[in-house]
Amino acid sequence: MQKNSYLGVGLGLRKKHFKKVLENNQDVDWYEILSENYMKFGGRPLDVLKSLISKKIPIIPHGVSLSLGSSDDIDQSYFKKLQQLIHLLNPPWFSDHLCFSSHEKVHFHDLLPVLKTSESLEIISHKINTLQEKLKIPFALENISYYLKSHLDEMTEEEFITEIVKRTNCKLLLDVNNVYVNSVNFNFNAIDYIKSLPVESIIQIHLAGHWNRGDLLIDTHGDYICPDVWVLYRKTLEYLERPVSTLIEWDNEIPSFEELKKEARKAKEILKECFDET
Amino acid sequence: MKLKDYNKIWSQFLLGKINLQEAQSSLKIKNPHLELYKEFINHHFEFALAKNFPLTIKAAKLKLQEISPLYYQEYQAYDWELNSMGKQFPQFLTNKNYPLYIQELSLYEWLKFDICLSCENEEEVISDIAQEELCLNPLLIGQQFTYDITDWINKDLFQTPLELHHILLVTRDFHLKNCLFTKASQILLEIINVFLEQNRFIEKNELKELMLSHSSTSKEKLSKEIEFALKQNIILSKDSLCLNHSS
Ligand SMILES: [Fe+2]
Repeated sequence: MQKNSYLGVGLGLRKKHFKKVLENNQDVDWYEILSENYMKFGGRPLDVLKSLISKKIPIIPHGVSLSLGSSDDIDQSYFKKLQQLIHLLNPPWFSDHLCFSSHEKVHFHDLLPVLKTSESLEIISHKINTLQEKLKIPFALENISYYLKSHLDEMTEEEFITEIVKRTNCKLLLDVNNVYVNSVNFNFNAIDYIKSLPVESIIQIHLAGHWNRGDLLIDTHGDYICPDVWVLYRKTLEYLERPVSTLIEWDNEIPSFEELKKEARKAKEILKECFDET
Repeated sequence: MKLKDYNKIWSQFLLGKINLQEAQSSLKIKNPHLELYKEFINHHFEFALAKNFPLTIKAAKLKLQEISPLYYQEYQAYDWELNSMGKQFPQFLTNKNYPLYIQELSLYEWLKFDICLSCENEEEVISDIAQEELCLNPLLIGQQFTYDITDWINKDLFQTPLELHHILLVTRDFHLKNCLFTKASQILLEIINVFLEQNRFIEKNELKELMLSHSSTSKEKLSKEIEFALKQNIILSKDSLCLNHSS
Protein backbone atom coordinates (compact mmCIF):
# COMPACT_ATOMS: atom_id res chain seq x y z
CA MET A 1 0.00 0.00 0.00
CA GLN A 2 2.65 2.53 1.05
CA LYS A 3 4.90 1.49 -1.80
CA ASN A 4 2.11 1.85 -4.36
CA SER A 5 1.14 5.24 -3.01
CA TYR A 6 4.52 6.74 -3.89
CA LEU A 7 3.96 9.14 -6.77
CA GLY A 8 7.30 10.96 -6.85
CA VAL A 9 7.61 14.74 -6.68
CA GLY A 10 4.65 16.86 -7.75
CA LEU A 11 3.77 20.50 -8.28
CA GLY A 12 0.66 22.53 -7.52
CA LEU A 13 -1.29 23.03 -10.74
CA ARG A 14 -1.73 26.78 -11.21
CA LYS A 15 -3.60 28.71 -13.91
CA LYS A 16 -0.48 30.73 -14.67
CA HIS A 17 1.30 27.56 -15.81
CA PHE A 18 -1.52 25.92 -17.79
CA LYS A 19 0.17 26.47 -21.15
CA LYS A 20 3.52 25.09 -19.94
CA VAL A 21 1.81 22.17 -18.22
CA LEU A 22 0.04 21.19 -21.42
CA GLU A 23 3.17 21.61 -23.56
CA ASN A 24 5.59 19.96 -21.23
CA ASN A 25 4.32 17.67 -18.53
CA GLN A 26 6.69 14.77 -18.93
CA ASP A 27 9.04 15.75 -16.13
CA VAL A 28 6.45 16.45 -13.41
CA ASP A 29 5.42 13.21 -11.69
CA TRP A 30 2.05 14.41 -10.47
CA TYR A 31 -0.01 17.49 -9.69
CA GLU A 32 -1.98 18.70 -6.72
CA ILE A 33 -4.96 20.98 -7.31
CA LEU A 34 -6.78 23.27 -4.92
CA SER A 35 -10.08 21.37 -5.01
CA GLU A 36 -12.28 24.46 -4.62
CA ASN A 37 -10.82 26.02 -7.77
CA TYR A 38 -12.07 23.13 -9.88
CA MET A 39 -15.37 22.35 -8.20
CA LYS A 40 -17.53 24.96 -9.91
CA PHE A 41 -15.68 26.03 -13.01
CA GLY A 42 -15.54 24.22 -16.30
CA GLY A 43 -13.83 25.73 -19.32
CA ARG A 44 -10.06 25.84 -19.57
CA PRO A 45 -9.26 24.51 -16.06
CA LEU A 46 -11.41 21.45 -16.72
CA ASP A 47 -9.82 20.96 -20.16
CA VAL A 48 -6.37 21.00 -18.56
CA LEU A 49 -7.45 18.43 -15.97
CA LYS A 50 -8.90 16.19 -18.66
CA SER A 51 -5.72 16.44 -20.70
CA LEU A 52 -3.59 15.39 -17.70
CA ILE A 53 -6.02 12.57 -16.90
CA SER A 54 -5.76 11.29 -20.48
CA LYS A 55 -1.98 11.20 -20.06
CA LYS A 56 -2.44 9.22 -16.84
CA ILE A 57 -0.68 11.87 -14.73
CA PRO A 58 -1.99 11.60 -11.15
CA ILE A 59 -3.87 14.62 -9.78
CA ILE A 60 -4.56 14.87 -6.04
CA PRO A 61 -7.36 17.17 -4.85
CA HIS A 62 -6.32 19.27 -1.87
CA GLY A 63 -9.07 21.28 -0.15
CA VAL A 64 -9.20 24.26 2.19
CA SER A 65 -12.92 24.47 2.95
CA LEU A 66 -13.95 21.20 4.59
CA SER A 67 -13.73 22.93 7.97
CA LEU A 68 -13.29 19.70 9.90
CA GLY A 69 -12.81 21.55 13.19
CA SER A 70 -16.14 23.34 13.00
CA SER A 71 -19.15 22.12 14.98
CA ASP A 72 -21.19 22.55 11.77
CA ASP A 73 -21.87 19.50 9.61
CA ILE A 74 -20.06 19.20 6.31
CA ASP A 75 -21.76 21.46 3.77
CA GLN A 76 -23.73 19.17 1.47
CA SER A 77 -23.30 21.33 -1.65
CA TYR A 78 -19.57 21.24 -1.00
CA PHE A 79 -19.58 17.50 -0.51
CA LYS A 80 -21.52 16.92 -3.73
CA LYS A 81 -19.03 18.95 -5.75
CA LEU A 82 -16.07 17.25 -4.08
CA GLN A 83 -17.59 13.89 -4.89
CA GLN A 84 -17.93 14.87 -8.55
CA LEU A 85 -14.33 16.07 -8.65
CA ILE A 86 -13.08 12.83 -7.10
CA HIS A 87 -15.14 10.87 -9.58
CA LEU A 88 -13.46 12.76 -12.42
CA LEU A 89 -9.90 12.47 -11.08
CA ASN A 90 -10.02 9.00 -9.54
CA PRO A 91 -7.15 9.99 -7.19
CA PRO A 92 -5.43 7.60 -4.75
CA TRP A 93 -6.33 9.98 -1.87
CA PHE A 94 -7.64 13.49 -1.17
CA SER A 95 -6.64 15.93 1.52
CA ASP A 96 -7.62 18.91 3.66
CA HIS A 97 -6.40 20.54 6.85
CA LEU A 98 -6.70 20.04 10.59
CA CYS A 99 -8.44 23.38 11.06
CA PHE A 100 -11.78 25.14 10.91
CA SER A 101 -12.57 27.78 8.33
CA SER A 102 -16.27 28.43 8.79
CA HIS A 103 -18.85 28.82 11.52
CA GLU A 104 -22.63 28.77 11.03
CA LYS A 105 -22.34 29.29 7.29
CA VAL A 106 -19.89 32.21 7.52
CA HIS A 107 -16.71 31.31 5.68
CA PHE A 108 -13.47 32.95 6.79
CA HIS A 109 -11.39 31.43 4.02
CA ASP A 110 -8.48 30.94 6.37
CA LEU A 111 -7.10 27.95 8.26
CA LEU A 112 -7.99 28.56 11.91
CA PRO A 113 -6.58 26.37 14.72
CA VAL A 114 -8.86 23.64 16.05
CA LEU A 115 -9.86 23.14 19.64
CA LYS A 116 -8.15 19.97 20.88
CA THR A 117 -10.66 18.41 23.27
CA SER A 118 -12.33 15.01 23.39
CA GLU A 119 -15.58 16.45 21.98
CA SER A 120 -13.75 18.07 19.08
CA LEU A 121 -11.85 14.81 18.48
CA GLU A 122 -15.17 12.99 18.28
CA ILE A 123 -16.62 15.49 15.78
CA ILE A 124 -13.54 15.59 13.52
CA SER A 125 -13.14 11.80 13.53
CA HIS A 126 -16.79 11.33 12.70
CA LYS A 127 -16.51 13.69 9.73
CA ILE A 128 -13.40 11.93 8.41
CA ASN A 129 -15.01 8.50 8.81
CA THR A 130 -18.10 9.68 6.93
CA LEU A 131 -16.02 11.19 4.13
CA GLN A 132 -13.89 8.08 3.70
CA GLU A 133 -16.95 5.85 3.78
CA LYS A 134 -18.81 7.86 1.16
CA LEU A 135 -15.90 8.73 -1.10
CA LYS A 136 -14.25 5.33 -0.82
CA ILE A 137 -10.69 6.65 -0.92
CA PRO A 138 -8.33 7.55 1.93
CA PHE A 139 -8.38 11.04 3.38
CA ALA A 140 -5.05 12.68 4.22
CA LEU A 141 -5.08 15.17 7.10
CA GLU A 142 -2.61 18.06 6.92
CA ASN A 143 -1.01 19.78 9.92
CA ILE A 144 -1.28 23.58 9.70
CA SER A 145 0.91 26.48 10.78
CA TYR A 146 -0.53 28.16 13.86
CA TYR A 147 0.43 31.32 15.66
CA LEU A 148 -1.15 30.82 19.06
CA LYS A 149 -2.00 28.13 21.55
CA SER A 150 -5.11 27.94 23.66
CA HIS A 151 -5.14 26.74 27.24
CA LEU A 152 -8.55 25.26 26.47
CA ASP A 153 -6.79 22.44 24.62
CA GLU A 154 -6.88 19.15 26.51
CA MET A 155 -4.16 17.51 24.43
CA THR A 156 -1.14 18.37 22.32
CA GLU A 157 -1.38 18.46 18.55
CA GLU A 158 0.64 15.24 18.28
CA GLU A 159 -1.71 13.44 20.68
CA PHE A 160 -4.73 14.83 18.89
CA ILE A 161 -3.52 13.75 15.42
CA THR A 162 -2.49 10.32 16.72
CA GLU A 163 -5.96 9.79 18.18
CA ILE A 164 -7.67 10.89 14.93
CA VAL A 165 -5.57 8.42 12.94
CA LYS A 166 -6.43 5.68 15.44
CA ARG A 167 -10.15 6.37 15.16
CA THR A 168 -10.35 6.85 11.39
CA ASN A 169 -7.37 5.07 9.89
CA CYS A 170 -6.88 8.20 7.80
CA LYS A 171 -3.57 9.18 6.23
CA LEU A 172 -1.38 12.14 7.05
CA LEU A 173 -0.19 14.89 4.78
CA LEU A 174 2.87 16.07 6.63
CA ASP A 175 3.62 19.71 5.85
CA VAL A 176 7.29 19.89 6.77
CA ASN A 177 7.38 23.66 6.42
CA ASN A 178 4.42 24.01 8.80
CA VAL A 179 6.21 21.83 11.36
CA TYR A 180 9.33 23.97 10.96
CA VAL A 181 7.43 27.28 11.25
CA ASN A 182 5.62 26.07 14.39
CA SER A 183 8.81 24.67 15.91
CA VAL A 184 10.58 28.02 15.58
CA ASN A 185 7.59 30.09 16.71
CA PHE A 186 6.90 27.83 19.70
CA ASN A 187 10.42 26.68 20.39
CA PHE A 188 10.15 22.90 20.09
CA ASN A 189 12.20 20.26 18.33
CA ALA A 190 10.78 19.70 14.86
CA ILE A 191 12.06 16.18 14.22
CA ASP A 192 10.95 15.04 17.69
CA TYR A 193 7.47 16.33 16.86
CA ILE A 194 7.44 14.36 13.59
CA LYS A 195 8.68 11.22 15.36
CA SER A 196 5.81 11.46 17.80
CA LEU A 197 3.22 11.27 14.99
CA PRO A 198 1.84 7.98 13.62
CA VAL A 199 4.44 8.18 10.86
CA GLU A 200 3.38 4.97 9.11
CA SER A 201 0.27 6.93 8.04
CA ILE A 202 2.21 9.68 6.26
CA ILE A 203 1.22 9.39 2.62
CA GLN A 204 2.31 12.80 1.36
CA ILE A 205 4.67 15.63 2.23
CA HIS A 206 4.29 19.35 1.54
CA LEU A 207 7.31 21.57 1.13
CA ALA A 208 6.84 25.34 0.96
CA GLY A 209 8.44 28.70 1.65
CA HIS A 210 7.66 31.03 4.53
CA TRP A 211 8.35 34.63 5.53
CA ASN A 212 10.51 35.62 8.45
CA ARG A 213 8.83 38.69 9.97
CA GLY A 214 11.56 38.99 12.56
CA ASP A 215 9.53 38.08 15.60
CA LEU A 216 7.60 35.32 13.89
CA LEU A 217 7.80 32.95 10.93
CA ILE A 218 4.70 33.19 8.76
CA ASP A 219 3.62 30.45 6.39
CA THR A 220 3.15 32.29 3.09
CA HIS A 221 3.71 29.68 0.36
CA GLY A 222 5.30 32.57 -1.46
CA ASP A 223 9.01 31.86 -1.47
CA TYR A 224 11.73 29.26 -2.01
CA ILE A 225 11.93 26.44 0.51
CA CYS A 226 14.48 27.52 3.13
CA PRO A 227 17.66 25.46 3.87
CA ASP A 228 16.41 24.43 7.34
CA VAL A 229 13.23 22.98 5.84
CA TRP A 230 15.28 21.00 3.30
CA VAL A 231 17.31 19.62 6.21
CA LEU A 232 14.15 18.69 8.09
CA TYR A 233 12.76 17.05 4.93
CA ARG A 234 15.89 14.88 4.65
CA LYS A 235 15.78 13.98 8.35
CA THR A 236 12.09 13.04 8.00
CA LEU A 237 12.77 10.74 5.04
CA GLU A 238 15.72 9.15 6.85
CA TYR A 239 13.50 8.51 9.84
CA LEU A 240 10.65 7.11 7.71
CA GLU A 241 13.07 4.90 5.77
CA ARG A 242 10.81 5.06 2.71
CA PRO A 243 10.13 7.57 -0.08
CA VAL A 244 6.99 9.67 0.33
CA SER A 245 5.09 11.51 -2.41
CA THR A 246 6.28 15.08 -2.10
CA LEU A 247 4.69 18.29 -3.31
CA ILE A 248 6.20 21.73 -3.80
CA GLU A 249 3.57 24.23 -2.61
CA TRP A 250 3.83 27.77 -3.99
CA ASP A 251 0.61 29.77 -4.02
CA ASN A 252 1.58 33.43 -3.80
CA GLU A 253 3.88 35.38 -6.10
CA ILE A 254 4.14 32.21 -8.12
CA PRO A 255 7.43 31.96 -10.05
CA SER A 256 7.96 30.50 -13.51
CA PHE A 257 7.22 26.84 -14.15
CA GLU A 258 10.97 26.29 -14.61
CA GLU A 259 11.75 27.71 -11.16
CA LEU A 260 9.15 25.41 -9.59
CA LYS A 261 10.64 22.45 -11.39
CA LYS A 262 14.06 23.39 -9.97
CA GLU A 263 12.61 23.08 -6.45
CA ALA A 264 11.07 19.74 -7.42
CA ARG A 265 14.46 18.56 -8.69
CA LYS A 266 16.03 19.41 -5.31
CA ALA A 267 13.44 17.22 -3.59
CA LYS A 268 14.13 14.45 -6.09
CA GLU A 269 17.84 14.61 -5.39
CA ILE A 270 17.25 14.26 -1.65
CA LEU A 271 14.91 11.31 -2.25
CA LYS A 272 17.54 9.76 -4.49
CA GLU A 273 20.30 10.27 -1.94
CA CYS A 274 18.12 8.75 0.79
CA PHE A 275 16.79 5.77 -1.13
CA ASP A 276 18.65 5.58 -4.42
CA GLU A 277 15.49 4.40 -6.14
CA THR A 278 13.48 7.36 -7.39
CA MET B 1 -15.44 24.49 26.38
CA LYS B 2 -17.82 23.16 23.73
CA LEU B 3 -16.50 23.24 20.17
CA LYS B 4 -19.49 25.31 19.08
CA ASP B 5 -18.67 28.02 21.64
CA TYR B 6 -15.00 27.98 20.67
CA ASN B 7 -15.92 28.44 16.99
CA LYS B 8 -18.38 31.19 17.96
CA ILE B 9 -15.87 33.23 19.95
CA TRP B 10 -13.41 33.08 17.07
CA SER B 11 -16.15 34.12 14.68
CA GLN B 12 -17.25 37.03 16.87
CA PHE B 13 -13.68 38.24 17.15
CA LEU B 14 -12.96 37.95 13.43
CA LEU B 15 -16.17 39.84 12.62
CA GLY B 16 -15.32 42.60 15.07
CA LYS B 17 -18.19 41.80 17.45
CA ILE B 18 -15.89 41.29 20.43
CA ASN B 19 -12.49 42.89 21.04
CA LEU B 20 -9.04 41.32 21.33
CA GLN B 21 -9.00 41.23 25.13
CA GLU B 22 -12.39 39.54 25.34
CA ALA B 23 -11.42 36.97 22.71
CA GLN B 24 -8.03 36.27 24.30
CA SER B 25 -9.55 35.75 27.71
CA SER B 26 -12.45 33.57 26.46
CA LEU B 27 -10.17 31.47 24.29
CA LYS B 28 -7.49 31.35 26.98
CA ILE B 29 -4.80 32.57 24.66
CA LYS B 30 -1.79 34.34 26.12
CA ASN B 31 0.28 35.41 23.13
CA PRO B 32 -0.68 38.46 21.07
CA HIS B 33 -1.10 36.88 17.64
CA LEU B 34 -4.87 36.53 17.50
CA GLU B 35 -4.96 39.84 15.61
CA LEU B 36 -2.78 38.26 12.93
CA TYR B 37 -5.68 36.06 11.80
CA LYS B 38 -7.77 39.18 11.17
CA GLU B 39 -4.96 40.46 8.97
CA PHE B 40 -4.90 37.19 7.03
CA ILE B 41 -8.62 37.35 6.39
CA ASN B 42 -8.42 41.01 5.38
CA HIS B 43 -5.76 40.01 2.95
CA HIS B 44 -7.96 37.29 1.42
CA PHE B 45 -10.81 39.74 1.00
CA GLU B 46 -8.50 42.35 -0.49
CA PHE B 47 -7.23 39.80 -2.94
CA ALA B 48 -10.75 38.71 -3.91
CA LEU B 49 -11.96 42.28 -4.42
CA ALA B 50 -8.89 43.14 -6.49
CA LYS B 51 -9.54 40.11 -8.65
CA ASN B 52 -13.29 40.61 -9.12
CA PHE B 53 -13.58 44.39 -9.30
CA PRO B 54 -10.47 45.79 -11.03
CA LEU B 55 -12.42 48.40 -13.04
CA THR B 56 -14.57 49.52 -10.10
CA ILE B 57 -11.47 49.97 -7.96
CA LYS B 58 -9.84 52.02 -10.71
CA ALA B 59 -12.87 54.15 -11.55
CA ALA B 60 -13.79 54.91 -7.92
CA LYS B 61 -10.13 55.20 -6.87
CA LEU B 62 -10.82 52.82 -3.99
CA LYS B 63 -8.14 52.16 -1.39
CA LEU B 64 -8.55 48.45 -0.87
CA GLN B 65 -6.60 48.31 2.38
CA GLU B 66 -9.10 50.71 3.92
CA ILE B 67 -12.27 49.46 2.31
CA SER B 68 -11.74 45.70 2.53
CA PRO B 69 -11.90 45.39 6.37
CA LEU B 70 -15.06 47.53 6.43
CA TYR B 71 -16.61 45.39 3.73
CA TYR B 72 -15.84 42.05 5.30
CA GLN B 73 -17.13 43.05 8.72
CA GLU B 74 -20.46 44.07 7.20
CA TYR B 75 -20.78 41.40 4.54
CA GLN B 76 -19.24 38.04 5.29
CA ALA B 77 -18.70 35.24 2.79
CA TYR B 78 -21.51 32.71 2.86
CA ASP B 79 -20.03 30.28 0.38
CA TRP B 80 -17.07 27.92 0.45
CA GLU B 81 -16.20 29.02 -3.07
CA LEU B 82 -13.12 31.21 -2.59
CA ASN B 83 -14.21 33.74 -5.18
CA SER B 84 -17.60 34.37 -3.63
CA MET B 85 -16.10 36.84 -1.16
CA GLY B 86 -16.97 39.71 -3.49
CA LYS B 87 -20.62 38.80 -3.91
CA GLN B 88 -22.05 41.63 -1.83
CA PHE B 89 -19.58 44.32 -2.81
CA PRO B 90 -22.07 46.07 -5.16
CA GLN B 91 -24.54 46.24 -2.26
CA PHE B 92 -21.79 47.58 0.01
CA LEU B 93 -21.03 50.39 -2.47
CA THR B 94 -24.74 51.17 -2.71
CA ASN B 95 -25.00 51.46 1.06
CA LYS B 96 -21.94 53.67 1.14
CA ASN B 97 -23.63 56.00 -1.39
CA TYR B 98 -21.11 55.69 -4.20
CA PRO B 99 -22.37 57.24 -7.49
CA LEU B 100 -24.89 55.05 -9.29
CA TYR B 101 -22.52 54.40 -12.23
CA ILE B 102 -19.90 53.05 -9.80
CA GLN B 103 -22.51 50.79 -8.22
CA GLU B 104 -23.53 49.63 -11.68
CA LEU B 105 -19.95 49.04 -12.78
CA SER B 106 -19.40 46.83 -9.72
CA LEU B 107 -22.60 44.94 -10.49
CA TYR B 108 -21.48 44.51 -14.09
CA GLU B 109 -18.12 43.11 -12.93
CA TRP B 110 -19.81 40.78 -10.47
CA LEU B 111 -22.35 39.47 -13.00
CA LYS B 112 -19.52 38.76 -15.39
CA PHE B 113 -18.04 36.53 -12.77
CA ASP B 114 -21.16 35.16 -11.13
CA ILE B 115 -22.60 33.63 -14.28
CA CYS B 116 -19.51 31.42 -14.51
CA LEU B 117 -19.88 30.31 -10.87
CA SER B 118 -23.23 28.68 -11.49
CA CYS B 119 -23.15 25.04 -10.49
CA GLU B 120 -25.67 23.97 -13.08
CA ASN B 121 -25.11 23.17 -16.70
CA GLU B 122 -27.71 24.37 -19.14
CA GLU B 123 -27.80 20.99 -20.84
CA GLU B 124 -28.64 19.23 -17.56
CA VAL B 125 -31.44 21.66 -16.81
CA ILE B 126 -33.10 21.20 -20.22
CA SER B 127 -32.00 17.68 -21.08
CA ASP B 128 -35.38 16.75 -22.57
CA ILE B 129 -35.48 19.37 -25.33
CA ALA B 130 -36.43 17.97 -28.78
CA GLN B 131 -34.53 18.58 -32.00
CA GLU B 132 -36.65 21.41 -33.45
CA GLU B 133 -37.49 23.09 -30.17
CA LEU B 134 -36.15 26.25 -28.60
CA CYS B 135 -36.21 27.32 -24.98
CA LEU B 136 -35.18 30.23 -22.83
CA ASN B 137 -31.75 29.76 -21.26
CA PRO B 138 -32.63 28.77 -17.66
CA LEU B 139 -29.52 30.54 -16.37
CA LEU B 140 -30.20 33.82 -18.19
CA ILE B 141 -29.82 36.91 -16.00
CA GLY B 142 -31.50 40.20 -16.96
CA GLN B 143 -30.39 43.33 -15.15
CA GLN B 144 -31.68 46.88 -15.47
CA PHE B 145 -28.94 49.50 -15.99
CA THR B 146 -29.16 53.30 -16.00
CA TYR B 147 -25.71 53.87 -17.48
CA ASP B 148 -24.08 52.43 -20.56
CA ILE B 149 -21.46 50.43 -18.64
CA THR B 150 -20.50 48.13 -21.56
CA ASP B 151 -19.60 51.21 -23.62
CA TRP B 152 -17.94 53.06 -20.73
CA ILE B 153 -15.44 50.35 -19.82
CA ASN B 154 -13.88 50.66 -23.28
CA LYS B 155 -13.47 54.41 -22.85
CA ASP B 156 -12.11 56.72 -20.17
CA LEU B 157 -13.13 55.40 -16.75
CA PHE B 158 -12.50 58.79 -15.18
CA GLN B 159 -15.27 60.40 -17.26
CA THR B 160 -18.86 59.94 -16.17
CA PRO B 161 -20.55 57.37 -18.44
CA LEU B 162 -23.53 58.14 -20.65
CA GLU B 163 -27.00 57.38 -19.44
CA LEU B 164 -28.76 54.62 -21.33
CA HIS B 165 -31.72 53.06 -19.61
CA HIS B 166 -31.60 49.45 -20.75
CA ILE B 167 -31.67 45.83 -19.71
CA LEU B 168 -28.43 43.90 -19.97
CA LEU B 169 -28.79 40.18 -20.64
CA VAL B 170 -26.07 37.99 -19.16
CA THR B 171 -25.32 34.44 -20.30
CA ARG B 172 -22.18 32.37 -20.50
CA ASP B 173 -20.20 30.98 -23.32
CA PHE B 174 -20.38 27.19 -22.96
CA HIS B 175 -16.90 26.45 -24.14
CA LEU B 176 -14.84 29.30 -22.72
CA LYS B 177 -17.12 29.60 -19.67
CA ASN B 178 -16.75 33.33 -19.86
CA CYS B 179 -19.51 35.85 -19.92
CA LEU B 180 -21.67 37.10 -22.79
CA PHE B 181 -23.36 40.49 -22.34
CA THR B 182 -26.19 41.53 -24.65
CA LYS B 183 -28.03 44.84 -24.56
CA ALA B 184 -31.67 43.83 -24.85
CA SER B 185 -33.44 45.21 -27.92
CA GLN B 186 -37.24 45.50 -27.98
CA ILE B 187 -37.52 42.36 -30.14
CA LEU B 188 -35.23 40.36 -27.84
CA LEU B 189 -37.39 41.34 -24.88
CA GLU B 190 -40.48 40.29 -26.82
CA ILE B 191 -38.91 36.90 -27.61
CA ILE B 192 -38.09 36.42 -23.92
CA ASN B 193 -41.65 37.41 -22.98
CA VAL B 194 -43.14 34.81 -25.28
CA PHE B 195 -41.12 32.10 -23.54
CA LEU B 196 -42.02 33.45 -20.11
CA GLU B 197 -45.73 33.58 -20.95
CA GLN B 198 -45.83 30.14 -22.60
CA ASN B 199 -43.49 28.57 -20.04
CA ARG B 200 -42.57 25.65 -22.36
CA PHE B 201 -40.28 24.66 -25.23
CA ILE B 202 -41.39 26.22 -28.52
CA GLU B 203 -40.56 25.20 -32.09
CA LYS B 204 -38.83 27.86 -34.14
CA ASN B 205 -41.71 28.27 -36.63
CA GLU B 206 -44.27 28.46 -33.86
CA LEU B 207 -42.18 31.10 -32.11
CA LYS B 208 -42.19 33.17 -35.29
CA GLU B 209 -45.96 32.84 -35.60
CA LEU B 210 -46.53 33.76 -31.98
CA MET B 211 -44.27 36.78 -32.35
CA LEU B 212 -45.75 37.97 -35.63
CA SER B 213 -49.28 37.77 -34.26
CA HIS B 214 -48.62 40.65 -31.87
CA SER B 215 -45.61 42.42 -33.30
CA SER B 216 -45.10 44.69 -36.26
CA THR B 217 -41.60 43.31 -36.88
CA SER B 218 -40.85 41.91 -40.33
CA LYS B 219 -40.36 38.17 -40.68
CA GLU B 220 -36.81 38.71 -41.88
CA LYS B 221 -35.83 40.88 -38.93
CA LEU B 222 -37.43 38.41 -36.55
CA SER B 223 -35.47 35.49 -38.02
CA LYS B 224 -32.25 37.48 -37.62
CA GLU B 225 -33.04 38.29 -33.98
CA ILE B 226 -33.84 34.65 -33.18
CA GLU B 227 -30.49 33.59 -34.65
CA PHE B 228 -28.77 36.36 -32.65
CA ALA B 229 -30.51 35.22 -29.45
CA LEU B 230 -29.31 31.70 -30.16
CA LYS B 231 -25.76 32.92 -30.78
CA GLN B 232 -25.76 34.82 -27.48
CA ASN B 233 -27.20 31.76 -25.65
CA ILE B 234 -30.27 33.77 -24.62
CA ILE B 235 -32.39 31.03 -26.11
CA LEU B 236 -31.13 27.50 -26.63
CA SER B 237 -31.74 24.64 -29.05
CA LYS B 238 -30.60 21.05 -28.87
CA ASP B 239 -28.07 21.81 -31.62
CA SER B 240 -26.60 24.83 -29.88
CA LEU B 241 -26.21 22.86 -26.64
CA CYS B 242 -24.61 19.80 -28.26
CA LEU B 243 -22.36 21.88 -30.47
CA ASN B 244 -21.17 24.05 -27.62
CA HIS B 245 -20.79 21.48 -24.90
CA SER B 246 -19.02 18.94 -27.05
CA SER B 247 -16.42 21.41 -28.34
FE1 LIG C 1 0.62 22.55 3.07
